[in-house]
Amino acid sequence: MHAKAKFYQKSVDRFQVAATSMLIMNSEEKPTDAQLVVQTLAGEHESFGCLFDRYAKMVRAVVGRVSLDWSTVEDLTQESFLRAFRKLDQLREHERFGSWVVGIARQVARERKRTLSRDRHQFVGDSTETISDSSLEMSEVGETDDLKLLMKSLETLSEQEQLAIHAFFLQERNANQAAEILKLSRSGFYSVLKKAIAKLALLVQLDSRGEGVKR
Amino acid sequence: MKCLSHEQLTQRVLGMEIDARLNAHIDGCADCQARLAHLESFADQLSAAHEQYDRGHNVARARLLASLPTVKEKSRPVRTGQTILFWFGELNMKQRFALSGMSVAVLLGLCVLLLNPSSQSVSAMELMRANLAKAKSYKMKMIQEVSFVRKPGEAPSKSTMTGAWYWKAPGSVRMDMKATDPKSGMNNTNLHPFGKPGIQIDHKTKTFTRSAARRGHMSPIMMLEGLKKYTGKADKELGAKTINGKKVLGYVIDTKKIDPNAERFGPTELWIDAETHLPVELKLKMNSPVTPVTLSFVDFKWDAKFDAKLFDITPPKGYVDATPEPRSPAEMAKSMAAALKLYAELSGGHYQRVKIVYGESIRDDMVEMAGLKGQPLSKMVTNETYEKIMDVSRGTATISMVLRDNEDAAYYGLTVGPKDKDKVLLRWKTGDNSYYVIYGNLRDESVTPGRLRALEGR
Repeated sequence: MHAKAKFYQKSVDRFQVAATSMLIMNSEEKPTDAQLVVQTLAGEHESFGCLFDRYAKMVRAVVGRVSLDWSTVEDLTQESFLRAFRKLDQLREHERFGSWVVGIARQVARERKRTLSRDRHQFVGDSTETISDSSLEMSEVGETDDLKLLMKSLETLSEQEQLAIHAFFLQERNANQAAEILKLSRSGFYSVLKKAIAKLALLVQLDSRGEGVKR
Repeated sequence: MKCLSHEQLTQRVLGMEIDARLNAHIDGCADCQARLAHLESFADQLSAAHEQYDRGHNVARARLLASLPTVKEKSRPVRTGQTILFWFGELNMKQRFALSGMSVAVLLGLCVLLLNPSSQSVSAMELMRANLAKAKSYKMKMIQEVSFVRKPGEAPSKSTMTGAWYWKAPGSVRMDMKATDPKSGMNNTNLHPFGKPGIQIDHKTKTFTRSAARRGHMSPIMMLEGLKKYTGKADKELGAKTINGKKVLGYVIDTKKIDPNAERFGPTELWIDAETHLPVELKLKMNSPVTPVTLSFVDFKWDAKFDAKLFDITPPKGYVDATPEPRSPAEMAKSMAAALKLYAELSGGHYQRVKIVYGESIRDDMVEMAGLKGQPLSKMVTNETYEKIMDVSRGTATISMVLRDNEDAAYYGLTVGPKDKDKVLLRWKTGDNSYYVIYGNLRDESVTPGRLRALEGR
């Protein structure tokens, strides 16, 4: 091809590529939870995988409050999502999948806690102490002493405060999404969260000074 | 004024609004600043501590999906009829009469709506939306026509690319695009499995490049995502005709109603199957200042079964990996800044004023601002300003790529200008505890998440 013709052809090709790149547009839209639920109900399991991607960490944090070890956390997480999958057609408000599956996880955690306290074959001792130790087990791999102290101190907070902290940090500090998961208003959520973080910061500070804490 | 409590300082760390007097106190109190810095660091530690919950995620996901088909069981159906009768029976006579009256009124209202012709397009759109939401996959043919004038006085020429497009829920995409003109030889495959790294294959040069997982979404219009959410009615009804032996109904919709950020698009002409209410053809024009583009999406096949290899990102045998070496954030910022600087010069002092940057729109805007819109090719490609625009095209492509692919990128051209030396114009996440920022005056630096939140006033 003649050099000039080649040059023009290259420019035209560039226009085509530019036009195609306009098609591959950035959009801040990802499939909504409601869309993923509808697709799952239509038989598309990959969509349920996406819901798992969004909420697995929060579910792990919820069930991790009563876990003995990481494999148990994983089992309880699987159980929570399997229950959610089985009952998915009962979820009326598809956009509330997040708070709904967290509710299921809390139920699974409660059942597990009851089982643990009833199991005569397993030494449980003071159940609070055992659960604290198990949290350490979960967090000890590759974690520093500071982080261990942090996670242990988290257990001294109320359930709602713990969930607020987990939801906030696992939703990448998006307060709106975190509030939705916990079915709180934005202001209500912030009210719980700021108290929780302030309390926790003080506890960790006092602990690290070896001053002990009134719990 | 006494120092702030832990709780008050935490409000600031969380980005909540606090009284201006309290902010002023922090700015002037070394003790409060030290405590605030400690709290910000503490919040970052909490963030880091939560990363443990990501352990083994991919394995757990695969395990869950593998077990799904064996446990899915239909829950016992609610016997709606019996439930309603039971509930109705619980009402007193007055309540039953009131409810019956309301029901009749609603029914009459529905009849008026349904008989109203303008309501028919609303129904068709609603049915289309409902069926699109359930679709598990589709394939279609895309025809992209670019029109241009080579030399002054010449009749316009056309360059056509055709492509096979495949979509699989929840968002995997494959595009096989080929130029019809043999002189071009363009022949590309773009593969983007949902949430996973992608690959772009150039069959002409026998090379491929790998790309990061797309966090953003494909064009809401092109991938019909916008139509899934469209709740309005059509602007015009085109009546019925036959396409490939199927009866179809035609509608015209202002594309900006489907996607408010689609500045450069003309109206969308849509033909939907009268039976399935799924799209059969879609046409629209893109008014790019470089060249106008006509797009046609035809031959839709819905819920088609795809070979598993269709979204396999293994490159063809013998193809060379041309994936460029990753650049440092500073290098990326330098090329982006060059593009943004030229844009500000051409625009008379502002950056692209959009909420979302689409594709190469920054470059296209510059071509238009340089007065090159509609120019013959021979004049455009030899124009000095056009050459400058092409010189910074790496920067425009980098901006587009970062905003598309990064997990936490943002652009604030709508509100930030070249004089805003302390305001964030563009930023993206570079690590667990770091972001890279380009300010309004185009200086750049790496910042912590806490610092970024303070800069963005969160």
